[in-house]
Amino acid sequence: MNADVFPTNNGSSHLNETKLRSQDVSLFYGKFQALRSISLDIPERAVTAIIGPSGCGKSSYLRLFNRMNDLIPDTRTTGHVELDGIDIYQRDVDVVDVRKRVGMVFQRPNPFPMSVFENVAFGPRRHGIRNREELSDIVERSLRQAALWDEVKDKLAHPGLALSGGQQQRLCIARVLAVEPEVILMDEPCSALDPVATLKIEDLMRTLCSEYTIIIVTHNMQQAARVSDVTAFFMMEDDRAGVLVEAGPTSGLFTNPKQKTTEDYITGRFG
Amino acid sequence: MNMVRRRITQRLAFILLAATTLVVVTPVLFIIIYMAIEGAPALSWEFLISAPRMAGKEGGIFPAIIGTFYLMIGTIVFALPVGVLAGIYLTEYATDNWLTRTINLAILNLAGVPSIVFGLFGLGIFVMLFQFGMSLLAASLTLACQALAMTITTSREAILAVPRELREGSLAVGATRWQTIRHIVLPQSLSGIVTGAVLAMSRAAGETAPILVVGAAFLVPGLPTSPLDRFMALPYHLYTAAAHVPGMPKSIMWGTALVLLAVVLSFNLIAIIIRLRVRRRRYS
Ligand SMILES: Nc1ncnc2c1ncn2[C@@H]1O[C@H](COP(=O)(O)OP(=O)(O)OP(=O)(O)O)[C@@H](O)[C@H]1O
Ligand SMILES: [Mg+2]
Repeated sequence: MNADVFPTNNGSSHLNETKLRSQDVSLFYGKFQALRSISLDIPERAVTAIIGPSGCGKSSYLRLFNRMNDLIPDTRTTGHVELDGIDIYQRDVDVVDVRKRVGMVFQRPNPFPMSVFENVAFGPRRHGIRNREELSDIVERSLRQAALWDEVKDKLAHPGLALSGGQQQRLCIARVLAVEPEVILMDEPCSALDPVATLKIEDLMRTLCSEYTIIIVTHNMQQAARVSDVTAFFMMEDDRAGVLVEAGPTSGLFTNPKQKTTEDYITGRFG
Repeated sequence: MNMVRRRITQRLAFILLAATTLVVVTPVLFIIIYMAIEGAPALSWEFLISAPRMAGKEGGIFPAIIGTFYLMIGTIVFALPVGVLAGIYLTEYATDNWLTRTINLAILNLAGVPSIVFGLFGLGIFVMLFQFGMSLLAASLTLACQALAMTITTSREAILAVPRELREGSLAVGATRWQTIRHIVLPQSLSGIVTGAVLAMSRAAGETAPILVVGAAFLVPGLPTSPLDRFMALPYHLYTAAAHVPGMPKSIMWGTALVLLAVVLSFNLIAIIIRLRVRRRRYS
């Protein structure tokens, strides 16, 4: 592990290889700088939580990893964003391939207006799988992985939008799992859900992280403490550009923060 | 005291609004009722399915109905694909630069060009330059040019109304931009696009000036058998019958007008029904 990046690694937990790395990354929306010089390593097969006050650029940072910010006109990224050591912002990189490997779950559940089955089969179909049996297998596997199968196995033909909010969010997770990504980005995936549904998603994250690299943005400090192995704390500077204040193993960061601002934030003194 | 005044204000506002509505609705109702009374005597099965005789003073208006029907089809066959493609391009691919802004301005202005100007344009381009002659084809293309403003605008609005979350959800599982358009955006905006198309057709059905110079004829023996044939159309038939045929029975004129109005209104009604059904689906 890069010692500069995880200054608080107190040796209590062993971190895996780096899966994603941002190196001196800045992001601009037009003239406005949303992120300033962020360097952070994201460990493989672990949950990394990103916390920080509203508007500090957490979502913007997350969307760097599947190049979702590309969709917004006038954005500019500098620095390096690497997936398995390859800079995904290089010219010859296929964005579609990046997005296949780096899936995303959004803040508000956004199932497609089609059946549960078709929601999950959407990705595989777009990637050329036509065989009905194969699709059925993928759909079942993904729904099981997302801990949704038992609840929807008799409703595969029902519209995805007819499910409850928590089920919809797990459907969206299944939809991402169906394309077998390596990384799953989650932007406040529980903020529209009740506590029970939230717990289900958290359990799910803990299970999934044995196979997937997960990054979750959350406003809920307890959630970050419960689910994540590593936590990164973002803050904004005077010009509202987001910076990384501190990152490290979750237990260390919450019990023994190195920076005063981190301590103030996690003890609820502001934000 | 205060409450009394508030109640009076409420009352007044209500009366004012009701009166305004009445002012708007009355002429429409009046026209329809008047036409129905005047045209009813001419309406018969015979009138609808037979050809005109004696310079239209007897017989029916069947060829004009068919001609108008062909025109509507022809218009939409050309205007819809171009409208949808342009709508997709403008919303999904074009970036906000001077070219896009110019195109948008052009579309806005297209809607404001007087219809006779489209007619002259069609005469110059389709009839003469492309040598389609005075024909159904030339007229359809001319009306399609005029309808473009509407099909592009409605397509674009329908496409823009598709929530960003759905597009992002699709792209986030590695779908390409075109796959996202094809499987998410278009299905979601289809009803809006169709509504626009139906309205464009109903407008094409009512146009007189543009087709006047590119191929409509008052009397054509037989129905058009090829796109290069001349044709009859309801609005043009009405215009000529009213203005240029001495001794034309009033009932035939009003009957023709009634049929034209029925065609246009029923298409508008279809558009309204599609829109309502979509809205109900969206909010239930
Ligand atoms: N499309 C955009 N265009 C311009 N500015 C944007 C855009 N998206 C975000 N920003 C700005 O970038 C900054 C960071 O936004 P971002 O959404 O990443 O914050 P966040 O930390 O996720 O906030 P929250 O916790 O409220 O979700 C904010 O100041 C925001 O106004
Ligand atoms: Mg956010």
